[in-house]
Formats: sequence, structure tokens, C-alpha cells
Amino acid sequence: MKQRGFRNTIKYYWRVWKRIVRGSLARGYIYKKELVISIVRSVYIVLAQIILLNVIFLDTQMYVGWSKSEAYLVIGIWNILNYVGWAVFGINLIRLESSVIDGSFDFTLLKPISSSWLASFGDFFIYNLSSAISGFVLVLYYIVSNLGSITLIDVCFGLLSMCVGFFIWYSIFLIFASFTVSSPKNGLLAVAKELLGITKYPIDVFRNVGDILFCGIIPLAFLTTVPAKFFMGKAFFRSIFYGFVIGVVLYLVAKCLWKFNVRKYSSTGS
Amino acid sequence: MNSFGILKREIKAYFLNESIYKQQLVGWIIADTIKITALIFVWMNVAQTRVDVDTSYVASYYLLVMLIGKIASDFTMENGIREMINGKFSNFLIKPFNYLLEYAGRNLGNNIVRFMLFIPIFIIGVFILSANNLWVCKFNFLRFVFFAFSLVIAFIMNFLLGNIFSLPALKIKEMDGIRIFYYNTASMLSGEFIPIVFLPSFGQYLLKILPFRYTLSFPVEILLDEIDGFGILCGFLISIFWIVILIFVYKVTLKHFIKYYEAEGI
Repeated sequence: MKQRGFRNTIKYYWRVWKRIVRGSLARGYIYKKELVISIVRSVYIVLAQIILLNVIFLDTQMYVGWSKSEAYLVIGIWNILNYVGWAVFGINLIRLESSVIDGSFDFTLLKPISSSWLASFGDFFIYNLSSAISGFVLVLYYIVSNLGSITLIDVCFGLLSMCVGFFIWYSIFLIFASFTVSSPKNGLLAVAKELLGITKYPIDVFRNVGDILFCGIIPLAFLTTVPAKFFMGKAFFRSIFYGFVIGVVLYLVAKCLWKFNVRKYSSTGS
Repeated sequence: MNSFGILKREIKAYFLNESIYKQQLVGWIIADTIKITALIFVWMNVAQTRVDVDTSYVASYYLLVMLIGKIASDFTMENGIREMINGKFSNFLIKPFNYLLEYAGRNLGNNIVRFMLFIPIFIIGVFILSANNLWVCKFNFLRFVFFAFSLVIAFIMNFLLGNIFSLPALKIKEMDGIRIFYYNTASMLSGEFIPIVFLPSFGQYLLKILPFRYTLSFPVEILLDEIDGFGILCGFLISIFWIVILIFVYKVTLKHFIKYYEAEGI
């Protein structure tokens, strides 16, 4: 199926997204209980992760070259990327499958806006965003506990590197989601979810395999390990540049795959 | 037709239905393998810092966890909630048999397909672990009988827990928070996220008296010879006690939430 022509100015997309977020906030007011549950969940997530790290560091000060506060930092970054990702695009792309099956994806294609953008950012999930608080708490813990050694530049580069990680995360998810358009119920999004899930651990956990696999073949190291190293003052600026280039390449691949799969899409439910 | 006959037909129907989506099931199995492989690496590194846990135990433990996950899983938190929200749940209520039979049939049918698809991965896993001296599971007939019994208990407990936690969907229409909260709790306390042997004694005691251990870790511990005869007996008694409690909680919860069900999705 061929998509209609669409506008492509950033200002236009920003205005559309602002309306989407406003609608979501209004919905959050209706489902107040769900919002309270998600805040309780974020407290629970922090507790669970504290227990996990305490068990890991029960008999040792260092774990695969990382101290406990550094491990908190990695998990904190992962929580932020993961839950912000789910709030902004993750759930939308997971729900793409049902819209393809019931035929409502036709309406996405008919709208005068990029179909990949609308499928990714067509709704905003405030509940998941509140769970990201757990990540901010852990990152803040690292910053406060290392206040003497950490510099403002480290924090700025760390935040910039997280943005690059977020871009890579989205591009990888879009690559996997694009196949849902032509062939729903393929299980690829579950694979993407777990691939991204393993980045909650520093890549050193996977020994030599991790270096080759997650720095070269699937660039998952740029999601959490590299931003954490920036916060720790152990990374170079060129890592952000490399990460950005990888992100752009992955995004272009995702867009090509999206177009390819939209061409193969045939409406069934409508 | 009696309940067993209905259940058999439901299992067959859902087995055939799930077989259509083999590609999706393979995707899920690959996803599960990625998650468990990561956990193997994480805990093998921890085991190297501990004198009381062997790395081979960790590797064997997680391979068996994957196997149990394919046999004893419950999908009510996914499918059941969706049907309660979109109103299809009404179809089950007007049928001349309890809707739990249909849900049980769906779970068992789905689990059989997933188990069959997982067998090649399991064999490859055992082969790789054996080649690296990491496979520590030795066959013992008596333990295998206990393991089979614990597997039945694991399925029943997963099924009851899944059904209890999905019932609020009859009233609350936005269930993502509760669903994810349940998954996080279950993976944390069942021994999937943290194997019970790594916990300090208080943590181990806590997990032993809570129901989640009996949904996953307990069958693996039996098969890996981690617990003695007395421990197995205690485990069975605690799990049967929890099944009785969960049946009671399920009935009370259903009675409460069914009053709010409006089937507005129809």
C-alpha cells in the first residue's frame, strides 16, 4: 500500500506531539489509580534493584571492574532510557501489531504525516514516564556520592551521551518494529525488548564476547555503558560522535526498512 | 461432557491455534534465551566471587529455568486482561462451563507448543554446557517424580496468581501498571532474577515461605539436588498450603470485581 504525501517540518511535528502529550496528561487525570500504581512501582523498582546489587556485591567490592555506585549508575541510566522509551515510543510500537491485524493501520497511512513517526509517537504514556523517576534517583545517588570527583563537564557529556543512546535505542526498536507492518505476530519486538534489556548490565559482564558483540555488531554499549563512563570521567568525546554516526546509520536503515515493509503491507481488517 | 473432556478439547483447540503463529513463538523463545543468557553471565561472574556457589550450578540452573518457563507459564495476564477490557470476557461467562477451564486449556495448549519448539534449544544448551563441564544435572528417578509433581504445582500456582492479578481488569480499564508490577514481583521472588542460593539466609527464608518460589525455582532445585528430602517435603506442604489460600483469594476477588463488570467493549 502506498502512503499519502506528508509534511516534514520539525515545527509541525513538534506541535502535533505537544497535542498528543496534552491528551495523554488529560487521560492520566482520568486514570488516577494507574498513575499512583506506577509511582509505587517506581519505588518498588528501586528497591528491587538495590536488593539485586546488594546480593551481587555481598562478598566483593568490585564486580567485573565496576564498583557498587558505578553499577547503580548503569542501572539508573537504563531505567531512564527504558521507561522514557516506553513512554514516548515503546508501547506505541508494541501496539502497532494489533493495529495492523485489525486494519486500523490504514488510518495511520492515510494521515498527512509520516507513518513511522505516527506509529512511534502517536500516543504518550505518562505512567511509564513516572517509573523513570527510579532512574533519576539512582543517577542522582551516584552524582551525590561522587560529588568530590565528578565535574560538570562529565555530567554534561553523560547527558549528551544518554541522548545519543536514546536515539540508537529508538532506531533499533524501529528496525524490529518495521517488520510487523508486513508480517505481524513475528515475535521480533520481543527479541528487541530483551536485547535492549541486557544493557542494564555493564558490557564487561559478557567478557570478551561483550566487547566484540556490543561495541561492533549490535551497538548496545552506547546505550548505558558509554554514558556511564562519561559520568565517571573515563570516556572520550569521540565516543559520542561514533555513537551519533551509528544512530544516524541505524535510523536510515530503519526508515528504508519501514518504507519497504509498508509497500508489502496489505490491509486485512478494514 | 465432563470438565476433563472439555479441558482436553480446549487444549487441542488452542494447541492448533497457537501452532499457526510458530514464527511468533520462535521469536519469544529467542527473546527468552537472550534474557536468560544475560542472567547466566551476570550470576556466573558473581559465583566466581563466592565460595558457596559453583558456576556450573548457575549455568544448569538457568537452562532448567528456561525449560520450566516453557511448561508452567500462565498467559492470563496478557489475554485474560485484554478480553476483560474489550468485553469478550462475556462470551466465557455465558458458556455452560467455568471460564477457568477455557483459560487453563489455552495456557496448556500454548505451553505444549512452546515446549516442543524449545526442545532443540534445550538439547543444544545441554550439549554446550556439558562440553564446558557446566551441566551438573544427574538423572535420578525418584527426584524426577518429585520434579514432575512440583511442575504440576508450579503451573497451578502460576495459573491462580495470574488469574487473581488479572481480575481487577473487570473494574480498572488501565491495567499496564498492575500487570508490569506483577511481572516484576514474580521474576524477583520466583528465583528468575536472583537465584535463591545467592541470597543471605533471611532472604532465602522469606522466599521459601512466599508462593513465587514454587512457580519456578523449586522444581529446578529438586532436579539439581539442591534440597534434601525434608526440604522437598516442606516445599510441597508450603506450596499446597498456598494453593488452598490462592483458591480462596481468587473466589473472594472474583466475587468482588465481577459486580463492576459492564462489558462496555461489546
